[in-house]
Amino acid sequence: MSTIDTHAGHSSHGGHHGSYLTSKGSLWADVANWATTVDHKKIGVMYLVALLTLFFFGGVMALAVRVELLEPTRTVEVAGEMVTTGQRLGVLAPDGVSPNNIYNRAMTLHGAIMTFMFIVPGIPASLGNFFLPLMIGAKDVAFPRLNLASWYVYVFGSLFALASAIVGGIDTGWTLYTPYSTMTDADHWRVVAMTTGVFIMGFASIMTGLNFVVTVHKLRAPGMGWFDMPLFVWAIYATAIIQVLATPVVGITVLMLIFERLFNFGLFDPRIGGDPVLFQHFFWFYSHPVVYIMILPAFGIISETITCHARKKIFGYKAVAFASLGIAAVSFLVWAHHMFTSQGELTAAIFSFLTFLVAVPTAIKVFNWISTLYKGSIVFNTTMHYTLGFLFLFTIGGLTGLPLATLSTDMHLHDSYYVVAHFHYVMFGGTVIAMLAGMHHWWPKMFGKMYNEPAAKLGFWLVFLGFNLTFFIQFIMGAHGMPRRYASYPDEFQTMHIISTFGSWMLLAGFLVHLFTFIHSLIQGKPATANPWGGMTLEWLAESPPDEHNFAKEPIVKHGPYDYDTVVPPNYDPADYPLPEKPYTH
Amino acid sequence: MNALMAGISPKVLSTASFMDRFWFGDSSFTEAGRSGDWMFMFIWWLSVFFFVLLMVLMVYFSYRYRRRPGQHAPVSPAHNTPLEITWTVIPTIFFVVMFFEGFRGYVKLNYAPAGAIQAYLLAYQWSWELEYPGGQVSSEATMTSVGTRASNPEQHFSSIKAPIWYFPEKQPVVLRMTSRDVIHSFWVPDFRVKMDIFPNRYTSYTFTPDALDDTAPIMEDAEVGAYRYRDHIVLCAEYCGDNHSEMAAVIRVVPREIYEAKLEIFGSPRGTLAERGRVISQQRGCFACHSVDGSSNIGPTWKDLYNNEFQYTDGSTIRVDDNHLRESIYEPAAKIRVGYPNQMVSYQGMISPEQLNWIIAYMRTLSGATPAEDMAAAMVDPDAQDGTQEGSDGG
Repeated sequence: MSTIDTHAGHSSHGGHHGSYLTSKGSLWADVANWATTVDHKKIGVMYLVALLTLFFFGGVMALAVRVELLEPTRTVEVAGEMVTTGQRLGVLAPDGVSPNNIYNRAMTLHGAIMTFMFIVPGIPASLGNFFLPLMIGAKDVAFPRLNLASWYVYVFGSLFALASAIVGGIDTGWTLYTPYSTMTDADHWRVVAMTTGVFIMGFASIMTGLNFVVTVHKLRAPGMGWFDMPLFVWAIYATAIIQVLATPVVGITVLMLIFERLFNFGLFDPRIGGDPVLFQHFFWFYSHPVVYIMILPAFGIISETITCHARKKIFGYKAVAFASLGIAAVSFLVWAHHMFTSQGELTAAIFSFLTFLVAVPTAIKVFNWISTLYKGSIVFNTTMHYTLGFLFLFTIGGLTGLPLATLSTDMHLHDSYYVVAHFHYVMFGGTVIAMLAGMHHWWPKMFGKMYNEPAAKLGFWLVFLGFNLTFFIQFIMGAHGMPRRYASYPDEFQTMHIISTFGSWMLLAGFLVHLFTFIHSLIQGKPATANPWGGMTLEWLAESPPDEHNFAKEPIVKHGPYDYDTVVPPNYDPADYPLPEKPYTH
Repeated sequence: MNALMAGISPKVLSTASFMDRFWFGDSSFTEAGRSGDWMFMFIWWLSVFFFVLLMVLMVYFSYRYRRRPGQHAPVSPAHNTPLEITWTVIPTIFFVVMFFEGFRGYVKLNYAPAGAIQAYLLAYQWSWELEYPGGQVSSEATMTSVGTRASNPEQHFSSIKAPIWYFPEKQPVVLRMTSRDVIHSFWVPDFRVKMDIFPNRYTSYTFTPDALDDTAPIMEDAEVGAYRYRDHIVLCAEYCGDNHSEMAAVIRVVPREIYEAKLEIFGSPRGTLAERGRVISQQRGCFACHSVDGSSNIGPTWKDLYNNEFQYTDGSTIRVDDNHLRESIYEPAAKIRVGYPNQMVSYQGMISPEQLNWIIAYMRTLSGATPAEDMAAAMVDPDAQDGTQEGSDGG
């Protein structure tokens, strides 16, 4: 420890007094302190814990779905008797319930948990909460109490949704399409409980978004103009705007769905005069922008990690920043591309065109990131592995979206496994991989501990290969004719399903390795210096872990966030991670 | 009717290219489908080109500019307007081309040529019923060996009973579709197009199947003789509940004269009352939920149902007789058997009183408890007994 102290200019290892993680004495005092904290860092960590818990539940559902799909359901004659095989989850079905119903519930819970409870709040609420104020040199977010309230609202909403799962779950699919969602589960309250949970969680999303917009506008450190902001801040800002504008729509939509179920309003159910397609419009008017709530923060993380670990200014800063805003704007105009097979040709043509419009800024971002690598000084740590992994997977995710935006090919691929593979490449290969890049990048800052790099790299390779094994084959399956949300399937797909399921186990192994490295780091990790990677953005000026009030004194911005080739950070510790030698020039 | 419960045709891989087989298993069986495949391959190769280009650059830069102790990254421009405009314009041009070509293909896939057969398709949880222009309904179904690419005769698709619909080769067809309950979607992977089916509107689906060639297998059919045929699986592509994944059908493409002969047969059920009942049950999709072999399904099995006693959810015990069956088909929610969900919809108006009589006759023959005189009545063939007085027994 003492060697690190001498290397670092000032005290910069974990566990020093005044860190936000410092214990208040007793366990009860700590619990009370965390439960009532208004510190954005603690709230960020609390969000992270809640999110990862839900990610675990959603992941278990995904594994259950994959296990069911190891074998199609077959009715075969064995010694003169007809025997049904292959219903693995079906054995859990009570009397009078179709064996497929268990699969349908697992599939629905996987989708609902992963979208509404994990990936939508995901990066902004956890890493965004922790790092947005730090990166703009602020003490906290603009409304710290609102921030704490949003966490409680989120947990309360999740409990509603999980209560619905515990008493049996729902089988509507996460999209809750009417009239199925108003007819199924008629004697129970489970659909209402789930949708109420989604309604409540919407408020958490709006609170967070509102907080971030005001924070970015009002709390930037002296000297930080709009174009001096790190791109992660731009991305979170664009996300926050969508959260504020789009989330009320899902609130209204699920409220109408609840009213339809409880009071027979006749909005969506044709038996009482409604129109089911209206629901789809409402649903996707939120749920398409929400795709960008999921992916924009990931873009932000990649812009940070690729510059820091390649020691290079981002190529085309303004293009990347405006691409975020452009995507946020156009994201409101493409909702009906989820409905190409359910509407007339004029709507289909308009929305196909607008969808291609979103593809342009997305492509620009990928070009910019790859150009950033040019003439850099690239280090292959876990964060960089995940960053390059993101570029690989997200490029596949983006390119495979083109046949879905193209009308003639979408008529075949729509609602098939091709779509499942496509959005997993974008949501998992994009958002989750970027979140893992961000967690490895910022872990030393958050907890003041380093982690075991070789073990984390092993985790990366298991996740990366396992993911591709699970999902690439699903593109082919879908184009061959395998529809989504099938509990059983024609035999010809079995080999491909088995490969996919093996991939999901590899993915599980990768996550377990990461869980182990993170726990190991917390217990036995080497203390982290303030700036282990030599980062230029303001969060690296704070201690690791940061003080309760973030900075000893308010930072003043004197250089851009990515001036790696002209400035060397004053507080980085070369013993920790050797950077190329360079005199101080600031 | 020995084609009933026969398997789907084994399909010989045609002249499909390697890439067609890699992505789709086979080439499409409609002209419009092939133009969609061409579009897919255009996007695919373009994507492969750009993906490889980007990844080669990424890997090359990562290796070439890897961190070396003592060597600092040189200052290089972080902005280049001509380059940035180029990489904005080139993708935009490709996207515009994809949009226009995609829309042209969409029109081909969705607009029927003149002179198309118009059939009516009703979808429901979890089967479908197709009514030919003359009101006929197919009485044939396949129980096993349903695969989308049935080159392997051992293939099974669960225990579904998928109806078989005959259509003539080279004949444009339009299906006018609606749903009785929730949203379904009609997808024939071989035709590369799907369309959603709604309970409150009509949507249409069109296809013009290719001609049968010499590679098409031959079906030996006792009623209409031997003929060449080709099968295409139909799948429901919009999640619709418990048995969504069992909601399938088969489009069987045959020569025109076979199609006409089949329609003739479907128009007039023949045989004993029980045989007619079985045909109607098949046509109306009863077997999607009810088995006839005693196995458990969504609804109670018909085996040993007639004239036996069962427990009902209102606490009563009822001996299944003609009137109870009539009520259960026309007002299914009135009495619910213990252990089964209240899920069946009313068949009032879909099954005529005469057809109901046939179905009850069929159920009698499936039960060991049916009294001998009831069994005998079910085995009567009205045409053979009363053939001179056509229509006298009609309802």
